[in-house]
Amino acid sequence: MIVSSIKLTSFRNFENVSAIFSDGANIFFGKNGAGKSNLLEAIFLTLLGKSPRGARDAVMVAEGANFYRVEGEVRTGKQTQSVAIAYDTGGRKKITIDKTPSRNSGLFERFSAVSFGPTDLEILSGPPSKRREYINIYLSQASAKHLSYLSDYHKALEQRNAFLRQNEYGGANPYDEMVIELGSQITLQRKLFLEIISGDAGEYHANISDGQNLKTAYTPSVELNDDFGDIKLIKLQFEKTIGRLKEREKILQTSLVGPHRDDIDFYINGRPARTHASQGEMRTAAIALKLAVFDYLKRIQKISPLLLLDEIFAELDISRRRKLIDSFGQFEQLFLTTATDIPELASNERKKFVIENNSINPE
Amino acid sequence: MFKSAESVERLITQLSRLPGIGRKSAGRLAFYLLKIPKEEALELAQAIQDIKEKVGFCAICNNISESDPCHICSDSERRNDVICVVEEAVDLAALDKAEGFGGRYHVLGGRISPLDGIGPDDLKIKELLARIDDKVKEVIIATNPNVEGEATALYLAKLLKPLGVKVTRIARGLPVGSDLEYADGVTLSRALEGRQEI
Ligand SMILES: Nc1ncnc2c1ncn2[C@@H]1O[C@H](COP(=O)(O)OP(=O)(O)OP(=O)(O)O)[C@@H](O)[C@H]1O
Ligand SMILES: [Mg+2]
Ligand SMILES: [Zn+2]
Repeated sequence: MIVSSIKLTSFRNFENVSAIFSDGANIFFGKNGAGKSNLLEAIFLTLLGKSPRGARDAVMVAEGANFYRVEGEVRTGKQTQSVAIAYDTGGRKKITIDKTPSRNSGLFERFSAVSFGPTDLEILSGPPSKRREYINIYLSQASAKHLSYLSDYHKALEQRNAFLRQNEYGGANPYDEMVIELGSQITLQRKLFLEIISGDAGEYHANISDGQNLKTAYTPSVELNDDFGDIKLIKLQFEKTIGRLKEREKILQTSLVGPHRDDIDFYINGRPARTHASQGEMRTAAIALKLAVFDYLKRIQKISPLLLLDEIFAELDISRRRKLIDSFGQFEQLFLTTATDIPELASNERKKFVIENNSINPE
Repeated sequence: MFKSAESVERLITQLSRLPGIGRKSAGRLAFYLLKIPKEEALELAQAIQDIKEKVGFCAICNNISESDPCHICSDSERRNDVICVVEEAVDLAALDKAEGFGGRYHVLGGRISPLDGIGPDDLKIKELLARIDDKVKEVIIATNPNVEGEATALYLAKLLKPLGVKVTRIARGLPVGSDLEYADGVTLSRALEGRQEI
């Protein structure tokens, strides 16, 4: 997938800018606060209708303006589509694809993107919720069904917790079956997803870091053996674990088993990453995890996602920078930002844009 | 105007208690009722009074009915070996319009939703279990296809299966996110045909 051009109107710090991009690597170069991350955000927004860092629409409207508009030309195979997203501060949001109004799901069905930003280091360093979020986002991007499992699971969980709060001495929780049913599906899908990610991320990681080992281990809250490919087995174990924690759940009045308590353990060269890894090591691992997701989505959706990498070089040594840059060749198109000049990036194959004074200047 | 405004105000308050009616619509309805002939307005009042005085619940299936047992439970032409479980009486009415089902019904009177303070004991579940005897071979659960409806179905299935009865769930031929009440007859009969064991 290629974004061949964009046009922004009163978006963040840009009043009225447009740019034509090329295949391969496009680099946004500029001082701190120039608007590089905002540009990546605008490109992601054009493709998927939302901010990659979860910003609300109102925040993205330029100061003093009462709307934003982002437009782009997107090429998938031989087909080119024009996408426009407009939002006004009255709360109306309009998405059009080739001038035809569309819903957000229309964008999800057609396009795909993977972004890496500074906050993604939290996949390794942050609380378990950040790791679950990493799985949730990409499993949902790959399958609408997973998204509905997740939202149904959370509704069922709230009902189950409400029952726990109301029935201190009560009998069987009427939401046990529903939570087990949905929770087991999610557990299985997470397991299959992480098996694939683990292998691919490990490969990317070894490549960038000259052979260092990254291990990804799913630690589901349902007590399972290593070998659990079978949904029936998961349901059985889920039921057992709930049974075992029954008394504690009664006291704490909240559900203690299920995907909402899952975690992933990462190990770099055998040491737990969260407590032991260095800054650069964490960044390398986080980038590898995102590149693995890129391959995953590409395989499932059968189109090459757009890759948006915000400040990936910070904290990386020269060898790792080089290895990363060497890997760019395999991506149809990608966008990078950097605030410092990276000599290794200079090449005819890459297009550089200088971002300054709220404008985009091709070099 | 002074004194009558008070009774208009009272009517608006009463109307705005109805589901889906805000104060604005209630005002419009009240002024419509003010304008129409007296007989017409009283017909409405009479109809409301009648349902409150004459209509009750069937002691067997909990359907709303003017007789007890209701016309379905007392219909000897119907099959006795299959019971279709629904949330509300309106769902029963919608389903019974669909062809292809000549069995009995059971109205739960809602769905399990602890967030709304509705637990299993607030529904006619014990009454359903009491109806399962040797004659009943299958129970079709036709609760709505949303999280609460599904959860209620799974809960019932767990209680029913030990009684040696086949439990099926109405297939999802229904448009996603729509409640049973609004589905048309064709979709419903297709859904009934495609039911699956749970
Ligand atoms: N809605 C908005 N209206 C106007 N300006 C905004 C808006 N939102 C953000 N900005 C400004 O945009 C500027 C650029 O932010 P951005 O994060 O894109 O910088 P950057 O080039 O990525 O910098 P860094 O190298 O530090 O990451 C910031 O100074 C910010 O105050
Ligand atoms: Mg930035
Ligand atoms: Zn009856």
